[in-house]
Amino acid sequence: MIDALLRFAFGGALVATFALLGDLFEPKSFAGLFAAAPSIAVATLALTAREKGGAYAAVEARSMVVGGLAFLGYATAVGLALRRRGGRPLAAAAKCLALWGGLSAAGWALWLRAG
Amino acid sequence: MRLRFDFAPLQQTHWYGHVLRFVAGGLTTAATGLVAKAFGPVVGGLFLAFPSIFPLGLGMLERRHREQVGGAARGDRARRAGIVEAAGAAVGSVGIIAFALVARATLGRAATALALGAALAAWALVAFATWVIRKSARRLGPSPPARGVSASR
Repeated sequence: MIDALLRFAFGGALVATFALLGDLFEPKSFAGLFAAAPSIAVATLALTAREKGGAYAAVEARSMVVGGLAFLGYATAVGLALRRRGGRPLAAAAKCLALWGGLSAAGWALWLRAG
Repeated sequence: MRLRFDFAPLQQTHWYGHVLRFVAGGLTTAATGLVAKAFGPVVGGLFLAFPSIFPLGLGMLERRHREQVGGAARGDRARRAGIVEAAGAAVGSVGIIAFALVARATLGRAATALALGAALAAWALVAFATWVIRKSARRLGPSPPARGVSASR
């Protein structure tokens, strides 16, 4: 329970800080970089390495490569959906979340599962 | 392409917008830890790049535009801002991949703070370089057709 609370506080603080930085920058295409800042990863990897060691955290980082590729596909799809179909940005982002899940699952099946 | 600070959005964002991002970030971090505990680090690691903040940012951006602009134009303005934000996030995700590759190579071999510092530097460098390359490519790309001239001509 304490571990979860620590993760909540540390992760929340880092995410809010990176998001605040993103709000401050102009042009907005640059500010968008902070929407994909590795704030959750920094918090999680730091706490995991402290608790279970660096080698264990490195395994998580390896999977993050796949998650990052899925994020690239997801963000591209959200941009394309808004460009071609229009609609509300939040709705497009929510609908495309399934794509992130699908791409991550495919990456896990093709690369990570084999070890 | 000049970068600058603009403090106006800070005044436009409601305090609960910041709280919402804190809570969403905290919940995702805690959930990632639970997933790793339940299914192991291989599955848990995938969620280190889960897009939890990006949709939230789009929602806040949509709300800000709705409050600023009235009438029929508001939807289109929010949509265009969303396209820009998504392009930025796609560029940032290239940086996330660089972060993960450096973290994978250094964690367990160097001190954790040093490894994560190097990974963060890789994220910043790669994301910034990709952003500059993308901007330059768009500048050098074909210019839009003049007004009144059909693109098919």
